[in-house]
Amino acid sequence: MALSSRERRLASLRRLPPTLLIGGALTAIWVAFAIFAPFLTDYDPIKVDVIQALKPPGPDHWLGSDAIGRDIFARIVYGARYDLAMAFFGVVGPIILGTAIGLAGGYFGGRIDSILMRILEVTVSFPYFVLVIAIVAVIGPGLKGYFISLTLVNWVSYTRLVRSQVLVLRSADFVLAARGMGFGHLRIMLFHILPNAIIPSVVFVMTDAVLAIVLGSSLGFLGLGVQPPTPEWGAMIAEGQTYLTSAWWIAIFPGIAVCSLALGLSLVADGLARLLNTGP
Amino acid sequence: MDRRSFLKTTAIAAFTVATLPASALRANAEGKKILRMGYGSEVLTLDPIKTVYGPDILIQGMMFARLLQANADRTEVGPGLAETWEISPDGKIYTFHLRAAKFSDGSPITATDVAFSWNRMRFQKDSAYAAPFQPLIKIEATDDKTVVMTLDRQFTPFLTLTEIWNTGIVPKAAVEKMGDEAFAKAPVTSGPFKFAEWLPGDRVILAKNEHYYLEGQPHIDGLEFRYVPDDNTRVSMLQAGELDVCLGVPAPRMVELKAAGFRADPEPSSETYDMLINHSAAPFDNIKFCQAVSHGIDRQAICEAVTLGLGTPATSIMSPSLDYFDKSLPTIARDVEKAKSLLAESGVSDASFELIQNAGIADEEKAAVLIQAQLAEIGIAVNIAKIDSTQAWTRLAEGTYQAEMNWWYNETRDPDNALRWCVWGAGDNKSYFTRYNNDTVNKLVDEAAGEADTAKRAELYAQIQKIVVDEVAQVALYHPTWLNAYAPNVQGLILNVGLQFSSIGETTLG
Amino acid sequence: MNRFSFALRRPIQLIPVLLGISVITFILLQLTPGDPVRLMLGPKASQEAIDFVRARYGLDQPVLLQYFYYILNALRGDFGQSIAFRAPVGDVIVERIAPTTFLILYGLLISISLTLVLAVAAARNRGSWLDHIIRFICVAGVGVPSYFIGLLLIMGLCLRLKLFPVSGYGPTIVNNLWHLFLPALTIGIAVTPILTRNLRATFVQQMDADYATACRSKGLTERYIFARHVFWNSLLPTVNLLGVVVAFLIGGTVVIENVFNIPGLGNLLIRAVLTRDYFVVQAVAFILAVGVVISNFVVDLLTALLDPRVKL
Repeated sequence: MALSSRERRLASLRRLPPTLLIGGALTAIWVAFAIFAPFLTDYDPIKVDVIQALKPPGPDHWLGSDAIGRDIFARIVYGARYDLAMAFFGVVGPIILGTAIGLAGGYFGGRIDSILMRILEVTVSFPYFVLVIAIVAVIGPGLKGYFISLTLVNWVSYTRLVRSQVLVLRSADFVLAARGMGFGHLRIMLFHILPNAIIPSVVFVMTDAVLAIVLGSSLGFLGLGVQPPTPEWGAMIAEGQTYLTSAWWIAIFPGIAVCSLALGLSLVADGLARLLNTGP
Repeated sequence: MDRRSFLKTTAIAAFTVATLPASALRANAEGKKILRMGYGSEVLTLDPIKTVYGPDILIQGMMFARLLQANADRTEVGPGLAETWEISPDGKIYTFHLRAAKFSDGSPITATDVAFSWNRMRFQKDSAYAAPFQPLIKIEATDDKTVVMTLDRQFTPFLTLTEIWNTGIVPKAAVEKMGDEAFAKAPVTSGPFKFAEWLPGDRVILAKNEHYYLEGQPHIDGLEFRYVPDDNTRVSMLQAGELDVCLGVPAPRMVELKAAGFRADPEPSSETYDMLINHSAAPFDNIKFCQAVSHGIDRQAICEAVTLGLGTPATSIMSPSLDYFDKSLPTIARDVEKAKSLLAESGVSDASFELIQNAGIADEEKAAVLIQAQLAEIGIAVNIAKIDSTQAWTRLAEGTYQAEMNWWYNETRDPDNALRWCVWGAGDNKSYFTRYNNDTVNKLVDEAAGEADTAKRAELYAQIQKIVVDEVAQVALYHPTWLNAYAPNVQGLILNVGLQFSSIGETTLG
Repeated sequence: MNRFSFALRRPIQLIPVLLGISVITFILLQLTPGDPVRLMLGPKASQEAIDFVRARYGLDQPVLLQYFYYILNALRGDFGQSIAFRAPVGDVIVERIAPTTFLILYGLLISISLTLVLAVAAARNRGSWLDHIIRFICVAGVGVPSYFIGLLLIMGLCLRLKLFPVSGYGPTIVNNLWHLFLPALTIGIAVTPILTRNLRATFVQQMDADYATACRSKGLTERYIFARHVFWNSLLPTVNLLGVVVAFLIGGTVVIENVFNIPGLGNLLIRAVLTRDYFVVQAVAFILAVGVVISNFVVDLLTALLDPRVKL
């Protein structure tokens, strides 16, 4: 008996790890919030209205309003754009740089590798906040500095993951075969080794995205993140900290937002790991 | 050694190492009356002449006696180390007669020490705050108990300046023996408290100065001045009984503290929160533009949102707590139409500017965001740039800025110091780096300082205030109050307009 | 070569790392705009006073010369002067090392204890509800920002229930186990999920390994196999992961130090960077790097002990 295509699709969905589905759904909700923010709320996230300041959650302001009368719900859904951007761009730079270095180091070995590994050691031992403050001061405030500094620090993880794979793969039969056929180093690295070496990194990316959000919002919390009046969750928590006892909603709701997005991404990471059978 | 026993030993060793650094026992203050204060910034130096910074000013005020001593709310300055003094008829020579007093090490405080302290403050190259004392040209000890100071002109505010922190009296012998650097870390003092211990990054501990010249004072045995950078942690510590005084309570938490039985009443301060504008660069080199901005801002709304009603919107450039504040100045009401027409008149084509805001200061951020929203309505685009304060200071000083959120306070109730600093264009700091420079104002400031008659001074200061508000020397926004909270058992202590606990000697812990 | 010979090589490898860090720190600080002396002397200082003090700290010298002198003095054990504190860097830093070290070790102690309990419980009860709950907690726990945990802990345990002090660093060991419990717990909450996930996975992998099956066929109990073989054979990957975590914690405790008001190196570092206290930044970066290298060394040592095959 042939299954209909719909049933087949359902069956294949069922075979996916449940954490992947739940996490994917949670992440998708936040992505949808970010994209459709203007349809979800009539409020402008940066519109101040001092008469409406510090209103508790209610029919006017679903999640309350902050110290200068901005709607918390609007700030959270629009804020998803910035926090998702931090998650996404926070890993793009590191994965590109880290993979390139890991590939080169692992493939060529020898002196190149040992120089790259020394650089890696320096990076690992370098305090992140020195770098980020300096970079933000040099190139000006905002997310750009955050992305650059994160790239300069976080590539290390990908280099380690990729390099350890490459060290094994470079003597694999298919690579030796490709070399025998006279392919160039670049071609072998990009088309033969990379697709196989990158799988652990793909799994790690999700975890790394979570760390990028946590780190980015920590910066907001320390007052070094996005520029006001940008709605970013970490900065919102910092703003609301003063009001925890009098207007708890200012800090608690963005806190829940950070945690839930992080949870979604972590679940995806867990699910992907199971699917690709690389980790736990 | 097998793996397991190795791991066990390692664990035990690691634990021992972990606990080692804390093993240095510190004096237990049981049974003693120790006042614990929490402040948001860290003490950096205990040398009065190197001091420019809140926590240092506060703590040194309790460590070093000055020639004159202020009363609790600093409405008056009376005898301190100087019991009496005379002023020559031309107002240029001040003669101070000292009382018998001792330093915390038991050595006598002589006129030589006073002259040494003052000469250091006035003439040593790295003295940070000699500027207000410019007219003072000579300080000498004529005998053991007499100090004569010579000014190059009549200078009415001089007496009130003999009370501010950087004129604190230090022992000549100790400073010369220890050297500036060591002295700044563990000074010999002349005020109600002596130095006991300094745990960097954590607290400075003071003990009662048994040799203090006011017998029986202070009533408490010691004082801990703790550094607690996070505002909310500091409040939590007061609530949990880990502090007796919390300095700098965020406005939203005052009500809650008061309800819980703490003494949490706003105390008058001399602060002005303002937006500094750079008069030497576009677009603020255009006075109409400055006025458009000034009229486009809703000071009432900013004051309400930031201080929650615990401050007053600015009408003048200086705080209502200062003498000669002109009460007749009208409220600078927001007037969108007027602002728009001023903007049109100004002819500024690119109506936008960058507003620097110091990272990590929540109140500044709120005010900056409100200014941005309010000015957007009259067609001026504001870009907020949140940068760290070192960079902000440097750009301010170098003049590479357009506008910056800032604040300032005045040590004395006499306004000379404040105005000389923030609107007197002839000074080193170019009217608090705004590059505002109006010859008439400069002359009036000098004239008012040299005038002895109170009524005439009032008139001159009224003129100055009117001009600088009209010409928007800086965009004064609001005057907050000091927001501190005290445990119920702390009695007789207030923070006065000069950022001093002048009544610390009489304070009791019930 | 003995398999512990790396103990000799490590200190030598340290030299290029430290040199690299000092160069990068120096360049970064030079690039960062802002004058520390202006900040130190305040808005009312005269230009003359500022120039005088700049000269005293050698900040008026050419950049390369400044670096040269810095290295020369550092070799002699003089790490320069703190501009903000007007004191030798050593004096400023030495008191801050203990709180941070204590916090990290205490946090690790909590993390490791929790990890062992949770991972063993999950692995021994594989597939049960307990396993599922622990795994979910581990997944969920990765993304909770530590400043948020700290905030909630203070609100709940200090203010509502008054179980713990809010802040600070106490004078004695016992006192500190008490004072630093919440910050250490915060570290524990952040770190445990990462370690537990990893350790549980290795446990499970080892339990399915051929040697375990062989043991079972010999009639050994599950408990014996786990305690005797699986457990010890599984520690290696987690120990390595622990090394990465510690490297991250060193210098990453700043947020926790900030929330709980601990006078540690993280707080000092942020402050020093923000005020351009050049020599303090240099020295703290240096110390943190040494800390990372030491922790790597300990990890290598443990690795060598746990796995005789590893040659270093």
